[in-house]
Amino acid sequence: MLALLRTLSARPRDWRHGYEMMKETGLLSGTLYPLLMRMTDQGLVEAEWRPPALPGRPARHAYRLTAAGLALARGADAEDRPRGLAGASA
Amino acid sequence: MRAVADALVALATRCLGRHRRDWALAMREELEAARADGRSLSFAWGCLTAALRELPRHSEGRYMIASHGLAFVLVIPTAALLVASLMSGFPYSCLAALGGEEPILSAGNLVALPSLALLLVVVAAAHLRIAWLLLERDWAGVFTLGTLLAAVSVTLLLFTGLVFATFVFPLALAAALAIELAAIFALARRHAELFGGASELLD
Repeated sequence: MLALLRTLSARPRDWRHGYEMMKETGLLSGTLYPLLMRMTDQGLVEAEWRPPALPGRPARHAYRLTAAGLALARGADAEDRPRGLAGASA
Repeated sequence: MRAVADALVALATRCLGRHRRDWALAMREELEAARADGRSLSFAWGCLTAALRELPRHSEGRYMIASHGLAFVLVIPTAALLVASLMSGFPYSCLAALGGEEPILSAGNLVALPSLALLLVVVAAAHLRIAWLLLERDWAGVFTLGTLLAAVSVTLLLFTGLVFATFVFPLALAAALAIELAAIFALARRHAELFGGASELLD
């Protein structure tokens, strides 16, 4: 879930497609979709059918973080940062 | 390869049900992107595992688990047991091996064995068809065959009792059929609650 939050929060205003996120996070579809479903149910991710980039192609389901999801992602990042700094200074 | 991936995603769509219809459509669209990358099969397999994990989380999924469980754990094994008992000689001899009375066989009643075997073949075939109709959610067909099955079972009970002087095994079969039919009726009620399809048949 952290990998997904990190990927989505890197460009929070952009809509991402499922397969694109699989490639970015390294998650398999069997892991990614249940996570996306749960996060959408919890109001962390919003999903929308977006028009295709190329004409003649079908619309695709796209996802991005909601304000709550973005806050959670930033919180998780902030928690990770001191740990990372402590690791670097040790 | 293309057909297998399409079939896996179609199965995933069926497992996700109405509850997650948008997600199923999303998976289908993303399959094209995975196909362009040459990873359609692993993508489709992942979609199916995701859909299977979703099954117990929604009522339609739980209904699917129950109907498949009923078909594969109760209805089809009953048909297999009937066929196995037919192949072992006298139709109930495999049950006799588990303990109980041996039916009285004589030159007189052995003549009736082909008719008994035929009745059991009808019951076994009806079971396989009922399993298929259950999964197809064809409740009109299930109730028609269920009624036929009940009629054949009563005939079987009387026929075996009178000709072979044994009631224990036909009664065991009748009890198994009664449990099966009760389970099917309960499933039909659940189907009517969820989809409203079988309600007119249950009234």
